[in-house]
Amino acid sequence: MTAWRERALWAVALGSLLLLMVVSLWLGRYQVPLGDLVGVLVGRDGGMPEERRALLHSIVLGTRLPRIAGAVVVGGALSVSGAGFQAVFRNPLVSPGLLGVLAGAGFGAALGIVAGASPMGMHLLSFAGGAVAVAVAVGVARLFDAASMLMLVFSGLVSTALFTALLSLLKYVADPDRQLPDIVFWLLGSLTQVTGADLGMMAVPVAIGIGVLTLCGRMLDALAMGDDEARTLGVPVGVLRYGVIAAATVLSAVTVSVAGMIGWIGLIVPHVARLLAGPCNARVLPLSACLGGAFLLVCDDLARCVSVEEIPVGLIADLLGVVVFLGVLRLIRRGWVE
Amino acid sequence: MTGLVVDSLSFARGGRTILDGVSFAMQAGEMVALLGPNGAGKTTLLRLVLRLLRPRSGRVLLDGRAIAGMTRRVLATHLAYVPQGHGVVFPYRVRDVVALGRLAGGAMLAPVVPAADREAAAEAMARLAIGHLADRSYAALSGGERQAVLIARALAQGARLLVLDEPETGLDYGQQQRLSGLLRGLAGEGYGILATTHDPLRAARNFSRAILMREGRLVADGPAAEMLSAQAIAGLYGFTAVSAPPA
Repeated sequence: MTAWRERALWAVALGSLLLLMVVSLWLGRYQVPLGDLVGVLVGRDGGMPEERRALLHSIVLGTRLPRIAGAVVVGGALSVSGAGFQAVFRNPLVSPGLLGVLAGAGFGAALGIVAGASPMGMHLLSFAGGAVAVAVAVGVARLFDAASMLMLVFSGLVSTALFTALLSLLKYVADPDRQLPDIVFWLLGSLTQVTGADLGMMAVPVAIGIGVLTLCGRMLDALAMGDDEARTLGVPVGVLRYGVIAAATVLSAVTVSVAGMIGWIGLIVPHVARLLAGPCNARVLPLSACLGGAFLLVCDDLARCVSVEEIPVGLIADLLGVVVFLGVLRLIRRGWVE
Repeated sequence: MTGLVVDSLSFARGGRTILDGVSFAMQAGEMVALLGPNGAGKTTLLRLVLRLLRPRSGRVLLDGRAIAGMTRRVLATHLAYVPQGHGVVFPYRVRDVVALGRLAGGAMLAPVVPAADREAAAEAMARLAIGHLADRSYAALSGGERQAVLIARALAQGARLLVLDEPETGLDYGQQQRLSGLLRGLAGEGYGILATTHDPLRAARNFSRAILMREGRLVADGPAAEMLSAQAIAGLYGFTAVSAPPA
């Protein structure tokens, strides 16, 4: 890709994301005139009556903005996480849930609901659940054969099965009137509960995770050639593999702790990024963040605008993901780069 | 000048000895062919030299320094590995693959390939006359073209000692001839070449030195043309020579 094409690609990607965010602020049940919206956003709303100004601020900045920012951050984090897992496992079919992080985080959140934890406690339990599940997978793999990637995939299956079973146990013992519906809705994935405080909590780990993975981009390209070759090219393979798994796990676990189970866009979005920018990870990872954010934002707009009753965004993301993935498969069949 | 010393190297797996007290030394500019039947320990020896395996005993020295104490990165600037042309899942372009050779010598954490690395990669591709492949997908190349790309990557790496694993596998006759010419040219420039091979005749013609291995031991080591008589080859691979060699 020439430097000019690369700059154009980034300009279009970032520009579309920004435009999409402004449009999303405007969309919603309560009609905000475009002029008023811009006024609120750029701080030129002094001419409005005080009451209307407060209402618009509450709708646009208090309700819509955190949710929109949440969609972008969650979608971006999940997509980068998926791209990282795909690079480490040299396999384009891998999704962020491979090592059990989604199952573990889902279990943690359900535990929080059953135990009646505070919102903050739920975030922490969910995050911890995801981290523990991946630690279990890595630990089991190291117990048998630390060097084998296939063993790591199998132990990921073990960990996923374990935490899925534990989650079922929690569903079984949960109060069917109060707790069970909460668990089910949590697992469907939703951005309705995202607050400014949540965003503040997510921002640092997500920014660090995306940054670390992007910096590892060229080493991950070397890893694509195989472990031995990467070693002879000077790459510390063990440190890289576990470092990337840790960063990708943090990214995924954070998203579940805030937005519930929105899994498989992490598998699809990196494919779209590769179609646009080629396979080099230093480009695929940040572009996945941008595209994933835009994709989940579109899903969330549909979730809140398609019907009067809100539809869980995880459900929309799954459905829309199917359509996008079919398109990707068609293009991949025709060849990736040439 | 890069000198490689292999000092009584042994390796065992699961109680079975695979390599037993192998020693040799090679200098820059030497072309050493490693021959022997399957299971003789050739590939194990290469992997020990590349530090992809840990020896049971013995050591490998580069310029007098033990490789066991080097970081991967330092090792990569001394020693480059040319594997057999293999597939890659993701469709990297040839220029991306060659530029990976620059990782060890440059900025590993750079988010983009630095301009100096791109130039070094272009130079290495020109050297192998594969500049026209630069924007092709590596995965779509033929075996011979992949081999050339991996050698270009090794040159871009800047290491003076190249370790090749059966480089002529999958190449047609013309490609094998070109590869031999290229390796001889590199040796003439002071590169050290250490390669496993299954072709004694080619080794006798092109390499300056041959090391014969059998059942994990080094059985002979000397000038390739002398070492690889029909009798020696028959003895090494365990068959009877049909006709006696000319006296």
